[in-house]
Amino acid sequence: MRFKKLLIVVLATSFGLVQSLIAQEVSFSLVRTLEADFNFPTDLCGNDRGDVFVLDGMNDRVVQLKTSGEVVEIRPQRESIYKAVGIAWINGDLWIADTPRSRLLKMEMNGRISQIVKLDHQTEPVDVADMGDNMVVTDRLNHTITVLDKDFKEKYYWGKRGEKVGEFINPGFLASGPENRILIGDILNRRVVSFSPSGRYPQIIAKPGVEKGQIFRPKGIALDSQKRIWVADGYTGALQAFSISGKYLGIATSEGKSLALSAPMGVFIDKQDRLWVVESFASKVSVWRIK
Amino acid sequence: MGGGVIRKQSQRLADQMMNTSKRLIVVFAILCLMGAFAQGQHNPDGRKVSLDCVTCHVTWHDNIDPQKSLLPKMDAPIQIQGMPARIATAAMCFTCHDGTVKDSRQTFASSNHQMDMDVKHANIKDLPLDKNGKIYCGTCHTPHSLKPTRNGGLAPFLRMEKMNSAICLDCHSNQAKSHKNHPIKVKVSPDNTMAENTFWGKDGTMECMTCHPIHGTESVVGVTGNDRSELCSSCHEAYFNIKLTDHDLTSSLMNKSSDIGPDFGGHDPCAACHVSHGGQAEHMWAMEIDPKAGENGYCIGCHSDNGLGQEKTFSHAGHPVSKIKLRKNIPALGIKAGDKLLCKSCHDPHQWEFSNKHAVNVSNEEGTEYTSFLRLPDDAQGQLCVACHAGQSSMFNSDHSVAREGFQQLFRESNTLNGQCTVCHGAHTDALDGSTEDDPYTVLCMRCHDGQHFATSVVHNNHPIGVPFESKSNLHGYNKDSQTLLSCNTCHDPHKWGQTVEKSQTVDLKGDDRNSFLTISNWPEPKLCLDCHPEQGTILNSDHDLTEEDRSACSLCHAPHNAETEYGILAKWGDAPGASFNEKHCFSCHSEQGSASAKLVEGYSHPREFGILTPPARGTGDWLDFPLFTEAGPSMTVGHIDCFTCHNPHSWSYKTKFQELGSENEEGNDLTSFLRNPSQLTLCTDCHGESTLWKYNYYHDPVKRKRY
Repeated sequence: MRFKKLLIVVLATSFGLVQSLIAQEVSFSLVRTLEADFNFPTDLCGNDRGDVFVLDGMNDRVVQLKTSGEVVEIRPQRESIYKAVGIAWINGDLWIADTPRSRLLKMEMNGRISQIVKLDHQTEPVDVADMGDNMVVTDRLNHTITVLDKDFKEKYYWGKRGEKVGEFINPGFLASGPENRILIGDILNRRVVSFSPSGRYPQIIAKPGVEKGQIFRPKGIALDSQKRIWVADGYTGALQAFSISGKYLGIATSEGKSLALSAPMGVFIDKQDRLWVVESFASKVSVWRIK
Repeated sequence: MGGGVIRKQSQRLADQMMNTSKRLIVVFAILCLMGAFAQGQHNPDGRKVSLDCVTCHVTWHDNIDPQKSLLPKMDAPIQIQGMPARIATAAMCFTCHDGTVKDSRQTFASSNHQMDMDVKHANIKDLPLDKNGKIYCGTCHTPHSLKPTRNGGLAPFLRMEKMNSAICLDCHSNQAKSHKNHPIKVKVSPDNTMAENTFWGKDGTMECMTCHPIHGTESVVGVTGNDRSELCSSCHEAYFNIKLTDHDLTSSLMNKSSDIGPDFGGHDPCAACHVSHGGQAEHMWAMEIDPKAGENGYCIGCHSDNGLGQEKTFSHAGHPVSKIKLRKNIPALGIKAGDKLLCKSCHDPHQWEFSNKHAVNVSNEEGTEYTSFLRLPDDAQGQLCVACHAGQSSMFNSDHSVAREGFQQLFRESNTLNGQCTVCHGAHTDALDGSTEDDPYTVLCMRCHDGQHFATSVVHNNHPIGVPFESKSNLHGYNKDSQTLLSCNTCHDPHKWGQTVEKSQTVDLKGDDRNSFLTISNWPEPKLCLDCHPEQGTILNSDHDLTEEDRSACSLCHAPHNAETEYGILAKWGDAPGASFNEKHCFSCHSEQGSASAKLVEGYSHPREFGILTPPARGTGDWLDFPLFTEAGPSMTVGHIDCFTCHNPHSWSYKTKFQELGSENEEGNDLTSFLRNPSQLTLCTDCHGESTLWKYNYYHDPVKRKRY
């Protein structure tokens, strides 16, 4: 019996290895690129109508890319979002992680800042995402994840600086994943980890490395219609897909070659399964159709 | 049995399989362990490194399968001292400094020291470059430097110290050479108006980064175009008094062009003369200068016949420069002992008027003694000149003070306003007019003392000038034809009134032997007179030595200016009796009302109808052996006998041993009595023969002298 069990383990391991070896190359085709005088943009998000909002913090603005093709500049009124990093569309509102000023901003389409949420602990929010009635924020200073309730009060937080599972070294972009999990790019631990909404039961989805199926600088995270978790690698420029269980599902390719984007950061997948990605170093946004 | 065998065989087979499986498992486990061990990271030297290292040193990941590798293909992305090195690139830096870990996007966006910048203009020494020989983040920064918070830490993770500009100078050493570049490592005035976030070196010194933001869109702090005015004025505000003056070439030469190099087409008044780096000469000078001209070359470069300031060319006729070394510190002019006197000693090229009291709003304004870029004005106190020539300041309380009414009248009449010194001296022109044959000192003095203006007239019967003289003290004069001729400055120093009898600054002073701007005091001893006339010193202590409290022995009889006579410059005698100048002169004392009433001269007149040949005319000696006179004065040919024919009023005796008198007045005899010669040496015997002695001895006795 012990032999059988060992055999099963060996076979399962081999199957996993084989699976990873034969992971598909997911073909991408470039839809378009947008430059719009960006200056090291960092993140983007989309609303239900198909508009995409690019956070162009160095230019102290948000650029709205309408479905009509119109490009609209939204400048904050009486406030600044200079050097802000993260942006998210949450429950019908545009939220900005105003990183250097320790706050979250709700911005109207005319630029008016209708809500300012000051964060405690000198939090430097990198990204913000919805989590049911709550919002979840990554903090580059304290290396923690903070959950705010519906009144924007700190509800709880988890994590600390460290390499162990459940710890972070510079948590960055995040996304709401399947099965009510929260997906977090743990940048300098070079991994993507999922958590339960309470911050428990961490599971590593993408492990460190510079080979296919591994991640070196996890940046933007987004889910496509097939619930594949796409992760942008800020160094290799690759876009790779993982399952919520951590299975490597493939790498984005174009014309037979792996994509090597220019310092990709925020990623957003719209309802048409088009992947929008900020190529920060090139100060542009590229849009890819996932075939 | 069979079943048992089968069981046994089966068992053996199973045992064999088990053994084989165990072996396989052991081998597999070993392989796994080896594989796991092999999954560690090693640096190029084979040393195992921590995970922290591969955070940046991505190529140190071991056993990267080339087929699966996602690494960008870059061979030797970095050079260190020309040698290839596989270390982190700027792209690696950006993966953290994109805002997610730290936000250095502004740095990446800056045009200063941006990635891919050529270094062809810099002389890089020790810092690494990228594979193309261009700078990248790691050129200056390394995460391996000590944390800024630690002792010796180099913020922000620099390879070299920035507080002393060391990291800048590694490449830009040629832009820090003294003089031709703006200095660094110098203390800056706390009154500077630089922005609060300005970078200062240790102890508040100025460093490269004080003006140059390392990462930004501006190459110089606060300067977006060519106008550095605002930045320069932050520390050099006083220099901005130059604005709108003639030295503000952006204003005064706005519509002119030049091929000598300065940029005066913009609005930066500094740029016309100074460049921050790479100057042509010291002082960050923008223009080429003649090295032979030395420090004055900066001025002469423009103030020459073909220069920008040709309207005000430099003249060597004025105050000497360059050749003079100052012997003491002159704080008022910023001069230190040993400094050479230069243009800038008197002029501050940045300031039209001392203390900038005079607001200049139009360039090309003619300068005055109060403006003209002078460091101090030449006002009534002659501040500028007196700073060095302090000894001349006694003039301010004299009649030569420009504050006196005389000068004020001159200024009103001429509609000019001169300073105390420039009223006589030209700084850049020769005040003494040497273009004529006339004595230049006299010409200058007679501008005022000519009898037609306000000053004391000295036009009549003056001490002779323009004549050679011998002076014991080497008194000055003016030089002509290799001779020193007597002039006003022989006896007078117009800067020193001397001992004053009147301290008032407003009342004109009456001069005497104690003052009167004399070069040598003439009281109580007449040293000035005797300096050239030592033989007349025998008058001292004689009965003719009538020295008084404000008058020397000479001055009773002689007046150097406006005398009664031209010959002998004899002082005025008023209503004294006598038929000739000499008699009136002598009888002014030797009369009943005179001071020498005890020695009345009762008989004295020699018949004048006989003309007597003078010794020179006779060819027998000097005129002074037997001086003869006419009504007009001394005669060199034919004259008559007068007082001074027989008497030398300066000497009690013609014999030296009798010249000194005792304390009591002595009665004279034929050896003394101020007689010029013994009787036998006179010409009297020519006419009087044997009676000469009688007539000579009783010349002044009207009765006795008639016996023969």
